[in-house]
Amino acid sequence: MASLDASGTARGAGAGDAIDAPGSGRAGGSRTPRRLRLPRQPMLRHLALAAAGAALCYLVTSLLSPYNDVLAGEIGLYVVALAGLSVLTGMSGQISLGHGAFMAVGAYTAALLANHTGLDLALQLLAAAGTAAVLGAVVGLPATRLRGPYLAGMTLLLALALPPIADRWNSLFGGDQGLVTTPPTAPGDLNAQQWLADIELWLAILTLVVVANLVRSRFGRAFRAVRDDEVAAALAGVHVARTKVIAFVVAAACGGLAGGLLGLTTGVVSTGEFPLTLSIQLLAAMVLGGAGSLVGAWWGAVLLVYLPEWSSSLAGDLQLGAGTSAYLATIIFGAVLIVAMIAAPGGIQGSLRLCWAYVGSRRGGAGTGDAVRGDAVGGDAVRSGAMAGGERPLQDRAPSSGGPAAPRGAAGSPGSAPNVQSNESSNSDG
Amino acid sequence: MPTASGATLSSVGSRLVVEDLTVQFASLRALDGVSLSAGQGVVGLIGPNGAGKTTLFNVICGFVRPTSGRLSYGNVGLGRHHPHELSGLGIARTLQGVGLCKTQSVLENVMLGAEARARCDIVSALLGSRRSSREEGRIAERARQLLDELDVGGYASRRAGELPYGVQKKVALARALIAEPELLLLDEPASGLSEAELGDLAGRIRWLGTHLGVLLVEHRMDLVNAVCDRVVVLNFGQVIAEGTAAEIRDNSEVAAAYLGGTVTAGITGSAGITGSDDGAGPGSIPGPR
Ligand SMILES: Nc1ncnc2c1ncn2[C@@H]1O[C@H](COP(=O)(O)OP(=O)(O)OP(=O)(O)O)[C@@H](O)[C@H]1O
Ligand SMILES: [Mg+2]
Repeated sequence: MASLDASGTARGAGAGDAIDAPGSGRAGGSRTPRRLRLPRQPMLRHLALAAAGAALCYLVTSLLSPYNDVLAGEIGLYVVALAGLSVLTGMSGQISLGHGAFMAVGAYTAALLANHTGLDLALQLLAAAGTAAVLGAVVGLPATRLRGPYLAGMTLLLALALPPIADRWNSLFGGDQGLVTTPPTAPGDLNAQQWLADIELWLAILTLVVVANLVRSRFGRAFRAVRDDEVAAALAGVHVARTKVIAFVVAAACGGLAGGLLGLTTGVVSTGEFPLTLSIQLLAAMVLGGAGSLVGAWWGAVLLVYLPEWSSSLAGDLQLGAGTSAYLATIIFGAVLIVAMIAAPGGIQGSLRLCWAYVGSRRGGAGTGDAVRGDAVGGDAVRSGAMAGGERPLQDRAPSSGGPAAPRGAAGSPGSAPNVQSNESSNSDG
Repeated sequence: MPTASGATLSSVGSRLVVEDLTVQFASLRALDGVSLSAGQGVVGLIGPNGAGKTTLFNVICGFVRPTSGRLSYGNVGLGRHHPHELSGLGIARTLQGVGLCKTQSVLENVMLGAEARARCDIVSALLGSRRSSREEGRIAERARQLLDELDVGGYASRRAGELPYGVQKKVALARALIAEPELLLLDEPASGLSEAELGDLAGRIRWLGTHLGVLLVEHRMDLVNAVCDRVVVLNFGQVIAEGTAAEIRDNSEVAAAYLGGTVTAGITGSAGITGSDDGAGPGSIPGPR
């Protein structure tokens, strides 16, 4: 799953922790770590991992009780929601306190389509994601001019504004009763809960693959650059506003899909399903799982599903009143978040990564350090491997000025494009 | 006001032409009727602190709107453009300081500079298509080449923020160069560099100047003397002198501007102005202190 990890940042950081001598930094790249052989092409590798993950999910849900299947499915849908939020807030640095609103839009869209058109489930969910994405674009445009607390305020307004809208047109949206949804009919003798959980977990994996593709691409690089330094990003040619809107659209689409799934899970779509605390818990879970990390989305989703479970049983044990126990989950969330931000700002995934690097550096000294480093750089080597021997890079500019070739010639090797591996080996002594 | 030396340089590539440019910040006139041009070769832009050098860069880059005046690059008018359009026009800039994404790897920082040349669309990115990964691979390879050529290839997977200042500056230069600019705007590339690094940098800037246009803002006069074909001096937003490095060195008005300036950081230059040897090559640049 590590290869699904979104943040190039953290990967670089992990490598940095293991490397002391800069010159030897890439020496490990040529040493292939002895591991399970996966396809070298990133897309194939991701698909292979995803297929294995999907099979595993199917196996697990078939072993679980129906009740636990529901919880497993909820984990899946929250992974979808958190992956989107991770792109928006963790990667492109735009805080959102209104993620629940995108879920609500998706949930209502899917439920309305199901009740009025009898559209296929896949199309319902696609429409849920699409409608939310449109809202994401609408919200994202003004958001490009806002930062920090102002952006938080605007997205908060979004979360607060949607329930009154649903109440205003209660004949369409069902008012307090909400809209009833029908879970998909399971094929064969699968029980309904297991089938829904499978669908949710598979969609979670699909979402992660797609989002991981995005964050590995130039768009992911643009997200991180905009988060870190807008001026530098713009000078490098990044269209800052467009990048921010793209992040909003991706996040909203994920939120909408997750909302559509939530409607199926709860069986009813009403404004009570999308309180402000949902948006806040989503943000907290994303940060706790590990902001900007797609693996962290799994941790966050587990917290979102199980913290309320644990806290309600805790409330039962403590014999708290109904009023207090309703807020216990949120209180615990808040407390854990505060402690975590002080003790482990990287969230669960960030802390695990640090432990991993630490264990790697302790175990067997230099040799293992190499392995860690090789792993960290291996990703890049694989990435570059796909194009070795391709056309001359980035040489489409008019040659008349001689400008483009300049730096290449500076090394006295005009036109020669040594492949990455030989570069690395020749560089290992520096 | 193209000078004689400027006219000979204009034969190749596009020219940046700035005419009668004025920028007013509230009560402060940061630029006041500035005219200059830059084509191939290295043009130095010097002046005491607060003279308006960075402001001029900001106008060229589209961060600051001119109050009046005209700018053009080749046959494209500037002044109403957005910063991200600049690298597509063939202009790249390094920032005063370093301007890197500190938490990102060096490779990622350099790859960012190729944004304007990247063609992969969002759908192929989402699908992780071969087109997307090929392009990423090409950009990564080019970034590694540039880093190697700047002798910092070994740092490719390190986090940019944890590296020595001199390395970071080279990474920033690599990020500007990967865009394959025809005009390079360098804002104080030598600040914080050691003498050895300065000599290295001078050689590179000189070399770059034979292939593309370089507009160099720099306080260290030893570097300016070593690399600039032409020097423009700004003071309080106005061009007070223009000419070869030797002419500028002997210009009494320039010396007065520096000595009369409020900040003596310019004196680094002042010492250089009177003391440095004109023929000094990049390897023998006098020390900054
Ligand atoms: N955005 C802005 N708003 C208001 N004043 C500004 C702005 N940018 C720059 N200034 C002012 O304009 C003047 C010129 O600043 P500028 O940064 O261009 O100087 P500089 O020549 O680059 O100086 P240095 O050598 O210190 O970098 C300064 O007095 C500065 O305070
Ligand atoms: Mg400046």
